[in-house]
Formats: sequence, structure tokens, C-alpha cells
Amino acid sequence: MIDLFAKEEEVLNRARELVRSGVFESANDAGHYRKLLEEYQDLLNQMRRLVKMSDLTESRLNKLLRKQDQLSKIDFLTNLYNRRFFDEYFQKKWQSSLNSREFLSLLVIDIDYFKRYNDLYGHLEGDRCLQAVALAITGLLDSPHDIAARFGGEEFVVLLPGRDVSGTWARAESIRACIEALAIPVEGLACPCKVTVSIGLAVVQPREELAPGLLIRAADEALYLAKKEGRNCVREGAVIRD
Amino acid sequence: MDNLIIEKTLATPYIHFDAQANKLTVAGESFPENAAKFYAPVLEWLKEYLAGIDNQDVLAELEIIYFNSSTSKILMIIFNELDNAVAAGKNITVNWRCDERNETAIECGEEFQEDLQHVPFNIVFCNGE
Repeated sequence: MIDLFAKEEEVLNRARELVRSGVFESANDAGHYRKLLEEYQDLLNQMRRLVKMSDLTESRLNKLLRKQDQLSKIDFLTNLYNRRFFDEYFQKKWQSSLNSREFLSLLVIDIDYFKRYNDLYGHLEGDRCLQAVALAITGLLDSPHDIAARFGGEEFVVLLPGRDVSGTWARAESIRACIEALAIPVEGLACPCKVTVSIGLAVVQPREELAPGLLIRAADEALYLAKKEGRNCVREGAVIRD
Repeated sequence: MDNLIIEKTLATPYIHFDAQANKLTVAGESFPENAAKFYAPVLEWLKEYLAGIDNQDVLAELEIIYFNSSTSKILMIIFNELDNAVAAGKNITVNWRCDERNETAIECGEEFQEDLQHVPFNIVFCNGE
């Protein structure tokens, strides 16, 4: 292990050596010199403590910063990204897809009859249902670029950069099927009497003349179609490409 | 001698050095741009006060939630003054007040404590009271 103050210690050792070697002409001179040496040693000890305290404080500030950063990105209930983070990430991915000409796919996922679920079982059970659905969604993301976010209420979004239409369909269908397979029961619903989701998907190859909001609108319209056509299904909105 | 009162700001602590009550209080955060300038009158007051007291009980209470490196150097200077005064026969106690959940404040208190030889230096948990 290196000593941050090795040079200072070296100066002190040389000074102690001088005292020992008896180069001073009088005991008085040696005494003055020894006193200065002791003061320097005390100041060096203080400096060590100051640096240690600065490190402690910096480390605490760093931890707080990281925590703050997490809090600003994450939806505390579901542990998914929040809407704010999604909006920023979506804009970034839109820009990078403009250059790379990659597809950008979006799923808008809505829990079917969630209001009824909440009315039947209460908000705490409703929260647990949201958490179970969120966990199922994140479990099915396999690329570090894919993100899932809570868009609001019982609505989630999944952004899948670089995935074509068939890949997006496959992912949407596996999310739908996985949530159905959770078999979270809901009384009083026609079959299936369990929690399901409807999913709207849209795929775009971003171009300068297109507005990013178009992808969200297209997926929203597809979700509306999925709800209209019986729920617990995936529907596709506009697919826009060159 | 007159008391020294400096109101708290965003970057500097509340300071109340009460010569009649023999109580020296520093409370708040301390990260002034120029710590030497801010604390110059504080050190000046302290030296004059310490030179004028006999052996009455003096309590220095510090509750500093966050402080920068320059402030820690100033605090060491202040504590050294108190340490030297106690070595010269004065009765001074330092209470380093901090929240028991604030490990950094406790560890910093311990660093100050270990640097001193004479003045009683207590780490007191106040839990934000």
C-alpha cells in the first residue's frame, strides 16, 4: 500500500536524522529544531485527517447523488422507469435511430378491467397486481437497450430499439401470454376470469420529417383497437418505414 | 465583551458565541466560498474570549450537518485553540452534535476527537432535535 504522504514522511525522517546526528552546534538550536519537527508532525497528522474527512463526505455525497438519480428515474411502486425517464430515453433513441436507420418499436400495454380489479380487491391488492405485471414485463426484456416504463395508472410502455416488426410482435405476444399465465384471479369476469393485458404496438424507422410523438400515437390507436376487439390481445398500429 | 452572532445563510452556519453564558454555538451547514474570510472574525473573537476567561465552565456546541474541506481545517484550528486553553487550565467542553444515523458526521467527529489531547470532546446524538 502506498502512503499518500510518503514525501512528507521522508522529510520528517530526514529531519529526525539531523537531530540524531548532532549537527546542531548548541542544545538550544537542536531544541528549536525538534520543536519545529513536532509541529510539522502534528500538522501532517491533521492533514491526514482532513483528507480522510473529505473522502468520507465526498463518498456520502456520491451515494446521495446516486440515490437521487435513481429516485428521479424510477416509479417507486413498480420499480420500472417512470414517465420522465421514458420521455428522455425515447427522445435519445429517436435521435440515434435517425442516424443508424434502425427500427424503433413501442408497445403500449394496458391492464384489462383494472378499475374493476381495484373496486373488487382494494387499492393495495391493485398495487400488487401492478407490481406482478411490471415484474413479468421486465422479465421478458432481453436487450440492454429495451426499457419498460410505467406510463401512468395501469398503463405501461416498452421501447424496443433495433427490433423489426416480427420481432416486436413476438415480444408483445410473449408479454401478453406471460401475464395471462400469471393467472391472477378476478371474480365476476367472463372467461378468462384472470388479469390480462391489451397491447398496442407500432414500429417506425425514424426520419427527419416525422415527429417522435407519431410512434406513441400509433401504438395508442392500436391499443384502442385491441380493447375494442375483445381485450387480451395484441394489435398493430401504423408501421412506418422507407 | 460583546457576544458574536452571525445569522445562518445557505452556505454558512448560525454562530452564537455568548460571552456571558460561556456558550459557543455553531449550527447549520458550512461551505463558504472563502472559509478563511468568513471565519476570521470568529477566530479573532474566540482568541480574545479565551484570553479573558478564568476557570468558569465553557461549553462549545457544534452541530454542522455538512462542511467543506476548508471548514474542516478551520474547525481544527478552533479545536486546537480550545485544546491549548484547556492545557493552560481552562474548563472547556466540546459537544459535537450529530444525528446517530449520520455515519459521516460521527466519523468526522471521531477524527476531530482523536486529534485533540486535552479538551473533553463528546459526540452527542441529537437526532435532528
